[in-house]
Amino acid sequence: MGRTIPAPRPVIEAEIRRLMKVASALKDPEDREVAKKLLRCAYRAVDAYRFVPLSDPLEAVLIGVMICLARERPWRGTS
Amino acid sequence: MEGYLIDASPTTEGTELVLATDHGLARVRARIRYSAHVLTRPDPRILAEQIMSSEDSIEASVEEMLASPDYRVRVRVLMLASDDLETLTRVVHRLEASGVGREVNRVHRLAVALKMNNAPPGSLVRVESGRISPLEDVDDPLYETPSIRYVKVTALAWHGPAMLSDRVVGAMIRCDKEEFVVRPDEVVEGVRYCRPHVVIARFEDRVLIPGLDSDEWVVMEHPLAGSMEGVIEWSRISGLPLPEAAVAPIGKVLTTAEAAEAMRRGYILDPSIPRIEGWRTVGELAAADLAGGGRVPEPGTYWGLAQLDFNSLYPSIIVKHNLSAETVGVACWGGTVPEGGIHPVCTDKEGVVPSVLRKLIWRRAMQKDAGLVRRADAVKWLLVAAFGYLGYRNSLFGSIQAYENVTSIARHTLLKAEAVAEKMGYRVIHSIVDSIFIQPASPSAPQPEEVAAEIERVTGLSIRVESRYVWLTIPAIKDGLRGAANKYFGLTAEGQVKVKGLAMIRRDTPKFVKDAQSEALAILASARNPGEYKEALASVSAVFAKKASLLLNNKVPLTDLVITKRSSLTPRRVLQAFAAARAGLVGGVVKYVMTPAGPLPVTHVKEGVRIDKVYYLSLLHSAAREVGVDSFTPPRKGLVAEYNALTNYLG
Repeated sequence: MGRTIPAPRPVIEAEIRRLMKVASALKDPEDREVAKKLLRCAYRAVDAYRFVPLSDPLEAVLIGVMICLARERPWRGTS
Repeated sequence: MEGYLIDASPTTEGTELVLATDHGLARVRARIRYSAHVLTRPDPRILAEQIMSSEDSIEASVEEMLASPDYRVRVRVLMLASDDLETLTRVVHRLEASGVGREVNRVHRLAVALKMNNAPPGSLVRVESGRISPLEDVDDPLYETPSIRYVKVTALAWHGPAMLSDRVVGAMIRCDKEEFVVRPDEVVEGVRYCRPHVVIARFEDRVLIPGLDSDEWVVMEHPLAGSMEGVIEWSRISGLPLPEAAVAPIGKVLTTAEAAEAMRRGYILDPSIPRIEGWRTVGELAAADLAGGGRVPEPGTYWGLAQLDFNSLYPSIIVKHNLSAETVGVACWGGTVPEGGIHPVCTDKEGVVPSVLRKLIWRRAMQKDAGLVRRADAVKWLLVAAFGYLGYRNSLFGSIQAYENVTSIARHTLLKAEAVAEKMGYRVIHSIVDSIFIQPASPSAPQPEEVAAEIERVTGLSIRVESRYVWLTIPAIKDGLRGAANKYFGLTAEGQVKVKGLAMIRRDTPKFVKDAQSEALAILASARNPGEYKEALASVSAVFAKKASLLLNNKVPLTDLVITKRSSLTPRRVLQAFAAARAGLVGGVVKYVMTPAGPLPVTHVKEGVRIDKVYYLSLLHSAAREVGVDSFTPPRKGLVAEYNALTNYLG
């Protein structure tokens, strides 16, 4: 079988691990905790990329983080 | 002479057939018509005339066939046929060597000839006046089970099945419903007692047991098809003799079946004309080059789940959407992109792959309905491999584009199935490739069978309720952030424990760890509600603690610590490389115990060998984590140092 594109999950997980290091390096302990919690949420979006091609691993992390934030404080929108 | 055809081999005086009869093996000669197709530079009609005038035993003619790779253009091909395979091969070689022709349709000549004679191995035939004729409908999947008697022989060493450099202590013989162990010098007599037509043995057994290779029976390897019935099924489908079908890679069985279908249609099989993918952008490649769909599940224990499985999803998609190398991404009238697909598909004629798979799917369904499980399982492996072969560019009908269409449609189908389940009041807990695990979100949710029926209606693909679970646990992977996609265990409504991906069912897990996990699951199986499950987990923890204690106190038998791993080296190659054989790399299998100095092959293990307890404790610890036990009680005083070493090892 001739697949050449790497599977999305390991790519996204590598990005999360990289960003975790950034989170660990933050000065404020509360910031560190919040950042890590949000990054853990990034996993929420990982499996969507088994159905849709991944253009950038950071995109998956951002979508996961946005979902978490929206769930914690539901966005009501404007009409 | 009548009997079941087991083996066949071309000789200079016709083809020797080996038949299983009531009285034992019979060897008879028959005239089998072999054929060869040659693409020629000069007009094939002139060559045909020349060959006919110079070679008495060869029949030469000209056929119009469809040229690869798209099978839309007709060309003239020189067709040679003879009962004498040696002469036929010589003439073909002469044509190739002189540069006037190139052989095409170069497939297993014997298998194709037997298939074309409607006398594939495994079927009942009559040989009369040198002619072979079928005595049953060879396409009937519900054929009477052939009365081919067989016996399994395994040479034994202290740790189980012997390897080439082992001292043989006996042999296990299994025939019909009998099973007995004999001394090394009694093996041949023991085999004779069973009166077999076929002896199933490993290469090692044939080397280690003198007299096992005999004309009294046909010796063959343990069948990859899983059973004697399975190998008979593969032989009937492909035309390969039983000993060859037993060791043939699935792809060979499938390719031979596809080749027979292609030749029936008058297709030219020409591997020198490759199927080349069109140019595409990186974005297009990224969009197409995705594997099967699936979720990253949340780890945990879920109650009241149902598992819905599509029936032969990939083969069904291939058949439904006519996905084959010569139908996808090629020029034709009326080609359209199927729903969920990526590349256009020609639908003006059925592709070879869908045609072969359609018959296999039907065959398997009939066999499953009739309770012929082993046959159905053998066909299942062919169906599973069919998808992989479609994506293998070097296979006869391989095409990356066809393969991409299959995975794309499968992902689309899985999303549709999830949407249907959610719409009908279910939560999707997990889904992977062709399975979805659903849990009712409200008490008013319909039965899972109704969900399956609706999914089938919406997707047009058959799906069934595979299992209903009292509970299902998805373990977390090491970092604990997500659940393992391919590991789970659960208690079905029928009271069975179903396990996927855990250490206890992996081949390379030592018995000691397998036993611990099996005991753990037996305890968890008693839980019928979350409270009981929690209590059971505490008992499970004690099981692992007890096993750890046995290990640290040297009370685990050495045989339970042997680790078996597959090696890509075949026994023959290893025999040639004796140094590797000394290292225990034999039989395509590596068996060793782990010592502080590293792996030690079982052939070098002596009594009192020091084992690496930390290593085995780490395996035990991983197995415990898989079933939800993160830590187990440290062992008694005096063993703390080793236990601490384990803790350090695990970080």
